[in-house]
Amino acid sequence: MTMQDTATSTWTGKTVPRKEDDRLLKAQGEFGDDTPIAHLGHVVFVRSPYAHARILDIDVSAAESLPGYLGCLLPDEVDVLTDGFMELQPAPADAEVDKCLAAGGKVRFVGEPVVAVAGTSRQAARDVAATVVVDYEPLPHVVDARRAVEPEAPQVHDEIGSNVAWDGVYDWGDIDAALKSADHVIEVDELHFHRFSSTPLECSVVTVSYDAGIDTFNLIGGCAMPQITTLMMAAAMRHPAEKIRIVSKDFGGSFGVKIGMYVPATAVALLSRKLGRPMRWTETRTEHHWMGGHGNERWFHNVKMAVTSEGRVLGLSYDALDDVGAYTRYEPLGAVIWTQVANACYQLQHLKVHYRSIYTNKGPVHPNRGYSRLQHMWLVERMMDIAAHRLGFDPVQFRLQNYVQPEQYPYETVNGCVYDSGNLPLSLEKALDLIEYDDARRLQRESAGTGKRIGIGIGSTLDSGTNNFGQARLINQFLPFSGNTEGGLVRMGVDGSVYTVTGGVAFGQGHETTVAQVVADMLGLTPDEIITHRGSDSALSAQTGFSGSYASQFAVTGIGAILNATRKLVREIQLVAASILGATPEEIVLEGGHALVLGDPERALPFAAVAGIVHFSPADLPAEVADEVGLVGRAVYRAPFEIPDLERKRGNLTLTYASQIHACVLEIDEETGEVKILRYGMVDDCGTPINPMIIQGQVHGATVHGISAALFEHFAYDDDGQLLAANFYDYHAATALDLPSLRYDSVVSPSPFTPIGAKGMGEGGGAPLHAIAAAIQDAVGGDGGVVLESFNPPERILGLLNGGTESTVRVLR
Amino acid sequence: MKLSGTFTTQASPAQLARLSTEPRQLEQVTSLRDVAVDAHGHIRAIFTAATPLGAIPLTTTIATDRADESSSRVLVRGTRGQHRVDVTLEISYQPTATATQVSWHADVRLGGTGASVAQRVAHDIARNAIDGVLQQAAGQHLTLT
Amino acid sequence: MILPPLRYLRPGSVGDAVHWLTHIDGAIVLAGGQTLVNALKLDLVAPTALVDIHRLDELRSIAVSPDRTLTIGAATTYAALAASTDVRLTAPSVASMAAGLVDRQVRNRGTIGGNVCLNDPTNNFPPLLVALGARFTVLGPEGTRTIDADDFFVGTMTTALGNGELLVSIEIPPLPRGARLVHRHLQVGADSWAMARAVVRIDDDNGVVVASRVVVGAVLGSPQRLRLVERALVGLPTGGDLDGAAAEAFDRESIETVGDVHCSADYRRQMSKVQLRRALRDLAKGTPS
Ligand SMILES: Cc1cc2nc3c(=O)[nH]c(=O)nc-3n(C[C@H](O)[C@H](O)[C@H](O)COP(=O)(O)OP(=O)(O)OC[C@H]3O[C@@H](n4cnc5c(N)ncnc54)[C@H](O)[C@@H]3O)c2cc1C
Repeated sequence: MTMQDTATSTWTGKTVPRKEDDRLLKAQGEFGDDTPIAHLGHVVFVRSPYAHARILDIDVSAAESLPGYLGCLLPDEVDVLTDGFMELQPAPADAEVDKCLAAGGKVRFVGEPVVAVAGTSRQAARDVAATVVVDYEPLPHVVDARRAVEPEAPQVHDEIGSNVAWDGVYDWGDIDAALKSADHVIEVDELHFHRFSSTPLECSVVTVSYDAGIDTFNLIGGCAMPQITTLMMAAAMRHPAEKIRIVSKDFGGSFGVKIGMYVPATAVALLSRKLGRPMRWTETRTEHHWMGGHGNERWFHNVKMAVTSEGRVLGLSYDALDDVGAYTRYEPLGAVIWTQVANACYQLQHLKVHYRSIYTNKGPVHPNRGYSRLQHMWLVERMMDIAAHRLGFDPVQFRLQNYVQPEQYPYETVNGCVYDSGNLPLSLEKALDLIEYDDARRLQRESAGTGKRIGIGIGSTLDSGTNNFGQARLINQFLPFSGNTEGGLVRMGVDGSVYTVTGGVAFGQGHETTVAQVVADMLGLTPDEIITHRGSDSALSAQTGFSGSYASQFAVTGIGAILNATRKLVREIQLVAASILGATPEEIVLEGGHALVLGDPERALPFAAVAGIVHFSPADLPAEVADEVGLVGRAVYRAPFEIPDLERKRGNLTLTYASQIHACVLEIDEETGEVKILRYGMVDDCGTPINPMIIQGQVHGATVHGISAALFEHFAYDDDGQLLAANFYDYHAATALDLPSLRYDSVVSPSPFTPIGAKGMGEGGGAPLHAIAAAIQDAVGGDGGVVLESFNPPERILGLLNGGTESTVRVLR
Repeated sequence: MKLSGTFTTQASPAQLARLSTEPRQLEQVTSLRDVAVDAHGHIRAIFTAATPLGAIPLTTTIATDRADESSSRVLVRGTRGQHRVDVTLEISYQPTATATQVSWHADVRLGGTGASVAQRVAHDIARNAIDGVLQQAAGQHLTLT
Repeated sequence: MILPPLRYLRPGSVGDAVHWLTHIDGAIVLAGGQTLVNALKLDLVAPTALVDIHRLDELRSIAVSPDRTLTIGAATTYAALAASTDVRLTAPSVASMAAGLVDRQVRNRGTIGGNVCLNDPTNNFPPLLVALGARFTVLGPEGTRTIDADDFFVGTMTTALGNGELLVSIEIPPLPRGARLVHRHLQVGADSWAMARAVVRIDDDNGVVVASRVVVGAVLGSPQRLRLVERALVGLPTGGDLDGAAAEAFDRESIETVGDVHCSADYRRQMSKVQLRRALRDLAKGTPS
């Protein structure tokens, strides 16, 4: 399908102001905590202050006498009322028991919920929670994945027998031969990608009203993956999925992490049913930092890269320890998701990775913007950079030479993924123009001896979008998932107005606007005339199992479904108009709110008349038309995928690959290690744009988050397993004051595989983490240390200036 | 977090060694109230640390692990809402010509929200709190016996 | 916002405020609330009553006496300090400190009195006010007393304020002719915690340092005067190697720091020295106070 699929492209591809901004700017949005509910009770969780402890006793007796106390939910009740949440990993780690309150008489991370208490107000619930006495016997804990794999390490889940949640080897090509024969081999003992997350503006809020009359749970709250959430809750609570309804309204960000909502939502649901009244849990920032979902922390060991004397990178191998925290939840999908970008941006031929997902006594990881791919791409890009520096190749030329070239698309990676389109060399050229590369090199030379050092860095990344869920079978062959779909619904109301519902759940990406743009083009209306459903509602039949917003896919799946649904509505309008106007349906075109006969604009029927006839005067229509037409288009978009080859771990795992090439110039203070970003350029290529302004907004957001993660954001735990950045006091998310003005440019390489050539792009690939690490390296120069960490606060940079990491990086040949 | 302090008191080592097990003496310490002995023989009390932001009342359990005339080892656990503090306190008594020199070493572990938001100030607050309680308890002993 | 049950009191005068603070066990002052309200929200502390002084006009005045002593009411906000011509002319370091503090929201609410009474080791004002030789006027059940900066700050989150006492105003004497003062700090990002802070003041008479105050923040027991460094500077020509003398003396100072999520204790200490060096270089360059 191509652009011609829409009747016109008056709106698609244009910068159109966002439909949702009007209400949001006027504070007329309705976020999780805003929805008024009569008779509402409030839930507060009593949480573990220990990283690992046995629960000896829980005493809630003091609560009974407190004003406003409604009741509570204890782990023992949860044990009886629910089964453990579905686990994705195969044996032996499938023995993990994960419940909405601490399971098996133990707590496994600081912040894990132990008791849920309910009160008539948040204050009352909090006061009650403060009187609950939990007696713990602290147990030995493990917060470092490297230690967790040692034989005598404390066990996070006793029933598994080790802290390994998943263990597998990917081996594509023949890296051993390449390492043997290559002219150059670089070896690095250890690199580390740190823990951080997206800290959405709105923390999680879940309201559950249990309707006893129809035995149905009604949930309201920002839910990024409504049907999977329903499935998780339904299975755990032994309750039919169709008796769980999830409604999301305005939604202050997810970035992936809110996929974990089913855990607290289950506790709230159980309490609502137990106490016979609606219950709301409003997460605090500290709670969010403890268990709202961290990004994957990953250790890379024994990293080896093979390079030819002409500077061609043949491939690499490494061992990964992915620290998933105390529960797997969406993991160990991260163990395969990274392979969507196995090649990163490069023409690698060999890749071998021994990957293990490891339990530790830390907050569970959830998918987070760039999920699992950015860790791998950071490693590859870091190695490209280290190789260039160590082997004396120009970092720009080295990348250009190894990038997948424009004429190679569709490009098949080492593992059978298909990179759809792109132009990386042009993107890099534009990125370097944005930072005025030659001038930056001049600045760098001039900075010598001033106490400041200037570094220039490049970050090359991909944002793979539209998952093939069949890849889940690569981590567990028994998982019954494959392909990907999204749903959409477009209907015409009794007066001819048009209402659209997408299965995707917007949390700030402007879905209402982009949906309105493409639907407007197909129906010959303006985006203002398209009424877009706010948020999502599982009862509206717009969803499929995979519905939701995650994995950079809306522009493909969400828009694809809406286009298919609109096409059905268009066909119905054509049928009605044709029979009334005495034409064939094919002769009917839609324009300016009318259905008219092509070439004969006098013969036209306003949409209001079309709707009026169908809804109120069906006798005007031939029976076969009246029987067929309901003025509702409901359709699914199916991404064209096959089940991967499990034996060889090969297959196409994602449909689109947007690219982000970033370049930055930064300055390091030699005495303090402080970093100041002087120039920052970002070039995005996400295929055919639907709304360039929205794309730029997403690019800015992803960039700011990446810069912030590289320099400030760190979910550090101390040796006691305490999270030291438990809220914004110490988790510094960059503000405008920390940032330079960002320079943007774009390249447009339409995807040949998607409905309108667009690609998913919202996650961004984490390019700032790569660009900043490279720029720090460039500033530190040859006599200093090597950047081996994704997180570089001033103290670490000062350490690099003083050398130090040398011995762990070797050029073998 | 490792903390320590020393002070001298007129109380004898034998008197000092009994301190952490005698609710009556502890009751006299101004920062302790509702002192009682629980079913395990541990002392339970509300300990209130003073800060310019207001009092921090902690529900506290004091368990004497070991005590003799040269030293004692006391385990203290304080909780308050989502905050927790665990203290392992080693106290040694050294008689001098005129008095007893008390030195203490504490391993203080913060848990929950406090571990994060108090990370830069807990050191001094805890040191003052421990030193204050010990000095007062040692001093009170004299007025009582 | 969730607060524990407590009384909220708004006194009509400083006398009423002191009365309540004295007679209600567990009552504390609420000024800008930029720290206190956060602490309440996190359920860290449990005061029984908040005595809200932020609307007391008596505590919000800024006055300059004929000898150019600046008197600032304790409840004066950072924004008011930054905007005041009197402050800018008589104590420009106070005005610029206030203008650069955190962000607009905090500047519009936070008060200089709250800043010093809290005496968080990372706070901006305590070291500056020590360097300026400020005096603190306090009203308590026993009446009024005035405390020198050196005695007012006792240690981490501890001041000389006694039970029931309210900080009423801060007096900043004029710097002697030839005196210069520089503040330097290293923060997490542009508006978060200080990792190191140094304020250096040098009183210059005919090209010679006749007195100096060197104060560091973000250390245990902040603000800490570095007396050895101060002594090392006195008698040196102001254009001389202040830097070298200070560095040597700094290494002999006993400075205790703690590590946190942002940096190690060691780095903090090292950075105090860097900030001190930079402040001295600024002074040498004649950067205005
Ligand atoms: C996001 C953020 C970042 C911040 N960053 C910084 C920073 O970088 N540097 C910095 O210096 N500060 C910083 N602060 C703290 C801010 O400056 C506070 O305003 C200040 O510490 C307290 O002032 P306040 O008026 O808000 O006092 P409150 O929070 O109302 O009170 C603080 C304490 O002082 C007591 N108190 C207040 N006034 C009096 C008085 N007149 N007499 C007796 N006791 C009194 C109160 O009882 C309370 O214990 C930050 C605050 C926030 C929210």
